[in-house]
Amino acid sequence: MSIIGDLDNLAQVYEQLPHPAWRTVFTWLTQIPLSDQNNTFINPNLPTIKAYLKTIPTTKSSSDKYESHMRHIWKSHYEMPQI
Amino acid sequence: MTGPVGAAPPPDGFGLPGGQPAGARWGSPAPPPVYLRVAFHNVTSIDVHICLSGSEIIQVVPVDGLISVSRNDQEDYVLYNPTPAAQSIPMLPRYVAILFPYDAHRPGFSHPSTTFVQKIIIKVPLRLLT
Repeated sequence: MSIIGDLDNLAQVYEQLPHPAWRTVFTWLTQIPLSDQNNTFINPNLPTIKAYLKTIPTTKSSSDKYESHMRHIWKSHYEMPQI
Repeated sequence: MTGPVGAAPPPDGFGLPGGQPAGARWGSPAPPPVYLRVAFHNVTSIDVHICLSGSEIIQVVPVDGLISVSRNDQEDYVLYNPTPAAQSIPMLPRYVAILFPYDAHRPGFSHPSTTFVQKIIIKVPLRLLT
């Protein structure tokens, strides 16, 4: 099941994420310059972890419009799915 | 937890496919349902979504029972035909959602308050946490 929480209460998130590597992940997150718009960051200590900082439009559309919307976002913002 | 636990109403116009198509009648052949091909399942990584500003709704549904339509090992995802049972998670500033490989998800739907979301998405390899 997905875990939902908030940054102001990470202790409760950690309770559900007992692996110590999660603290490394979130500690690194606090060091990401949030003013740096639309960038990709790689954790220097755990290079296999990537973070994408993005501003994207959302959509109310359903059906094929949603797929078209997301295809555009992926193409323009992520190195991600080609569907 | 003061965070966004619980389901929110789906946004306007958000209708998951798979039900009886509009206009179908008894005795007439029902046209095939139209499915969206955009429910993700990360195969080897965990997604962490953190909303910084704006807002969005992420739809989440367990992958069990979903029908996969394509798989991309290079990009580490599987696309599924979603089901109407998806949960809507509202993402507001400072909210965190952690989505595991068994959570198919569809991000990017408008929350009523805004039309954009500024967010961080972190891809954490599953092997680091097992």
